[in-house]
Amino acid sequence: MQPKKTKLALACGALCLGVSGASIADTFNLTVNTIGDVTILQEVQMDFGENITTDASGSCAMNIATPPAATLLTDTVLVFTGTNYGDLTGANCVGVLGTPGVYSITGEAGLDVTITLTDEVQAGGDYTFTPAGSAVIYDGGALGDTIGSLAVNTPTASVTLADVTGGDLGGVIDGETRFAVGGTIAVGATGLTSDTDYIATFNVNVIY
Amino acid sequence: MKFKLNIALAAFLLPLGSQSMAADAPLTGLFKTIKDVTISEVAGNEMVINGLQMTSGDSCTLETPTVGANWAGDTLMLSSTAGAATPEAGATPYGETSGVGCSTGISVPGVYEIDGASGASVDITLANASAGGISFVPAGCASDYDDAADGDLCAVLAVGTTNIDLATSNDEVVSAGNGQPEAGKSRIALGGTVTSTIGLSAATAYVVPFDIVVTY
Repeated sequence: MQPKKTKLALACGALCLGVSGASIADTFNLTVNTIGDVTILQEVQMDFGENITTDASGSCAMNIATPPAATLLTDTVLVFTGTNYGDLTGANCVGVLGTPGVYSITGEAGLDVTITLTDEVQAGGDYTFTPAGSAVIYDGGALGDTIGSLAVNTPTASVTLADVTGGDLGGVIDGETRFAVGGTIAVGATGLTSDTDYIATFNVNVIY
Repeated sequence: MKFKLNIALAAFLLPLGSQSMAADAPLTGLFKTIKDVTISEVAGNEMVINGLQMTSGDSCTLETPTVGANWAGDTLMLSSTAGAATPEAGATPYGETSGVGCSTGISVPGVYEIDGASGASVDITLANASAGGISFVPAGCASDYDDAADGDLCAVLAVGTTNIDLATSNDEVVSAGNGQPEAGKSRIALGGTVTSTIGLSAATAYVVPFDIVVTY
C-alpha cells in the first residue's frame, strides 16, 4: 500500500500548482548591440595654395559643386563629373586652381546621417571663410548616387552612407561617405599681409 | 524564443532615435598670400637714347626690342625661346636708332625686372610721358612664360595694358644655350620714340620720367 500512497501525493502536488496561481520564474538575457560611432576623417586638406592677393574687400572662391567620382568613391560618374573642381574665381585670386578638402564619414552601412557645416571666426587676420560642401548620397545600388550640397550653419539631413552589400560600387568603403569642401575667403577692409601663410577654420558635425 | 528576439531588435534600434551617435570635427584649410609684385631696373640697362639732333617736331626711335628684331637676348631676358627663330645671344647690333632726329650711334634699350608670385598673371601698363619739351612713347616686349621647359615668348608691349605670366619652376628647365628663367620673374625690354617740341640744346642730357605699372 505504501507505493500507491506516494503516487497520490505527487499527483496532488501537481494539481495544487495548477489551480492555485503560483508562478514559476526564470532569468533570460537581453543583448543590446549599439551601432558604431560615426567618425570623420580628413583625406585631403583643403588648400587654396599661394593664390590669394592681399587686396582689401575682395574675395576668392574655390568650386566644389561637382567633385570627381574617383575622389569621392562613387560609381556615378555622370553626376560626379569633376567639372570645374577646385577652380578659383574672384578678385583676390591670382591662380586658377586650388585643392579642395576631402573628408570621409564612417558609420553604419545604409544609414542616413545629418551633416552640419559651420563657419568659424578666423583668428589669423582680417578675413572670413565660408565653407561650401558636396557629399555623396549613396543609393544602395549601382549608378544612382546623388550629390548632397551641404548648407552652411544649417543641418543637411538624409545623407545616406554606402551599402556595398546593397550594391554601391565605385571603390567605396561600406558604411562610408565622402564630402568635398571649398568655399569663399573674403578679405576685410584692412587687407592681408603679403607672402604669408594663413589658416581657414571650419567645423563639421555629423549625427545619425 | 520568438518573443525574446523581438525585444532584442527593439533595443538595438533605440540608439538611432536618441541621436547620441555623433562626431564633431574642427577642420582647417590653408591659403597663402602672394608676394607683392615689384619692378626694378636691371643694372647697366637704364634706357639711354644717344645722338639726338632735334629741332622742334623731330622724332627719333630707339628700335623696339622684340623676339624678331633688336632682341635683347635670352640671357638678359631670363627667357628660353628655344625653337623660336630668335638669336638667343641677342641681336647685333642691339640698340639701334632711326629717324630724322637721330644721328649715328648706339643707344641702350631699357631692361626692367618684374618680381612676383610664381606663375602669376600680371598686367603691364605703359603710358605716354613727356618732360622738358620732349615726349616719349614707349614700346617693347616682356618675357611671357609657358610653365614648361623652353617655348617662352616675348609679349609685345605698346601704350596700354598687356597681360603676361611670370615664370614658374617648370620654366626653369631649359635647353643648353638659352637664358635661365627664374620662378616669379619676368623682364621687360623697352625702346620707343621721342619727339621734341623744342629745339634741343647741344651736349645736354634730357631726362623724361615714365611709368611702368604692373598689377596682379
